[in-house]
Amino acid sequence: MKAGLFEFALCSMSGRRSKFIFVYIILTLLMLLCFSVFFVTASLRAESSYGSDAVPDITVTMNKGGRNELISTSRADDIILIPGVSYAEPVYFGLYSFNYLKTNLTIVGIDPFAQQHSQAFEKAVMQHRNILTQERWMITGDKLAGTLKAIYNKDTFSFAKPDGTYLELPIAGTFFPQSQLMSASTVLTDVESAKEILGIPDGKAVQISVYVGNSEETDTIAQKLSVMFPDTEVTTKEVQLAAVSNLFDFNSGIFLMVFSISLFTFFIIVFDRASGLNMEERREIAVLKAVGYTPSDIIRVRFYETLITAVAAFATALPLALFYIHTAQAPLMKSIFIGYSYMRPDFILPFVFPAKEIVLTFMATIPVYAAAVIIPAWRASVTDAQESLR
Amino acid sequence: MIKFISVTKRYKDSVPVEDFSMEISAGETAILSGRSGSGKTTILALAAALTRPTSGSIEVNGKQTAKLPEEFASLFRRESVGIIFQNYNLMPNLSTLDNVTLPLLPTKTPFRQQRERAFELMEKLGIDNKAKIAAGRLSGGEQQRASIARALINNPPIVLADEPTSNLDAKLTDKLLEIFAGIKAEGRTLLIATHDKAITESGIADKIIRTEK
Repeated sequence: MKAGLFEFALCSMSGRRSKFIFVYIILTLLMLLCFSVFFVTASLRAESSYGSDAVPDITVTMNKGGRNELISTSRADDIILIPGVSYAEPVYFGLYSFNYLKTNLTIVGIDPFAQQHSQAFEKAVMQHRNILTQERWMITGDKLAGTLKAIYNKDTFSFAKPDGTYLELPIAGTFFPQSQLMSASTVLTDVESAKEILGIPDGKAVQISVYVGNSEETDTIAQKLSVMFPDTEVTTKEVQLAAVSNLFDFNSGIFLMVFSISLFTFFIIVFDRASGLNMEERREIAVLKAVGYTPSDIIRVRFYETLITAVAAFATALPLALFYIHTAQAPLMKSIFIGYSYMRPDFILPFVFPAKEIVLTFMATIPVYAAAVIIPAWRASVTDAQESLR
Repeated sequence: MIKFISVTKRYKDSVPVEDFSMEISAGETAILSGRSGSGKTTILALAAALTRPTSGSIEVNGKQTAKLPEEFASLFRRESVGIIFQNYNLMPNLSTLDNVTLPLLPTKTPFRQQRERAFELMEKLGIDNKAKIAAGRLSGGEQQRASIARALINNPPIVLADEPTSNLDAKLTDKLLEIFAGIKAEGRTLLIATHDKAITESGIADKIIRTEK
């Protein structure tokens, strides 16, 4: 680096500060937008991945006329006989409308004596062995436990059953899932209580979860299940996770549209700059040539100006994006991505630093901007200086 | 030495220089005299390799400059030529000192030496007290002197001046003639384009070259 030229670039920038401040603001906003998107998507991706271990290899549900119906638990006994199936169990879960917080609680009925397929549930059972001796109990996510304690100040909670009566359950403890969505709304309870709260009659379940020994056989077994039970909907884990991902992508698609418009605007500005310099800029380059600056010196000066602007924009945009996403919790942007129905009390975006995307953004933005500045400067530096000075 | 042989410069809409020849020896002071539009400025630009002739040959300080590539033309100017422009062409937002040191920035001259040389010249030209003031805020005479200091900072053997008195009053013109006498005394080749009688009749010139076609 030639210190003299770097110093000149700084002086030159301070002389034309309004222009550089404008470019700096545009670049900062663009990077802020990119970084914010990357932070939000990385956080949400991490959040959604926490629950993926609980998704069974195959899910069998009853579907009539497009409606989800309860499925007979006896089908689990037939399914387990299929070669390759290692385990099949009826599952009891559903949403309980908690009007006080204007939200839905996710009620999950589990058998504490059976193997738990979710690590979070397994941990919950291991931590609260006292439930093994109790007939009725509930374990809540730690955030929900704090909320209930703050509202009712007692160690039980009364659920309104579909028949209008109440079921009071003692809070046996709390569990700490990685997922804050789960922590904020999930209630684990015994199977009988879950069935009563959700209005599931005996012999029925919400779905049958099927686990296979060899994951390569999943599709074959799924096909067999479809043939065996033509009135059911058989979904593999892969399809189920893709459906969640598609929902997320649909929301991010809306954002992508807004984002594309911003990028498009940026490229129009870039194109406008690349297509020519104004008279004042041409004259300045001609003067530099007249006092002995070579075209490479001029390009170097412009490169330093670009670098200073870009690094300043990067250094501003990164902390701003971190503040916007992780301190302010991405107002507006979070709801675009996760949608209203996914809103949960106290949902905080987990901190994930998508370093690769951040570096890529920097590397993708700067060359475009640098080219927009350097190409016209280079053109001017190799053309007749006298014409610009006339 | 500056030597033009049958030089023609043609633009789209005009031919400012046509079949022009001249020869100025090293250390000589010459005046290009002629009315406005007679091609004086273009001849200076051709001598500085700021523009290329349409035809003819130009030799400056032993170098054929008519077809020099841009990179080499710039290096040639850095080493051999100082230009004093009619409208000064200073960077209005930079300080006087920064304007004067501008030609030294891409060179390997140490920073301290750049500043010393600039102050030495500014002191000689009486603008050392304006070092930190933005060039755009200097008076016409001060800008003229800053422009001269910038032209001389690289210690060039050839100095080209385009209508140097066009914006100066009589008193400042006398002061400028003193400066030019100093440049001449240092043994530099000086080519002044002017139609100001104060210069042409001052006796500073060894040679007066008419540019009328």
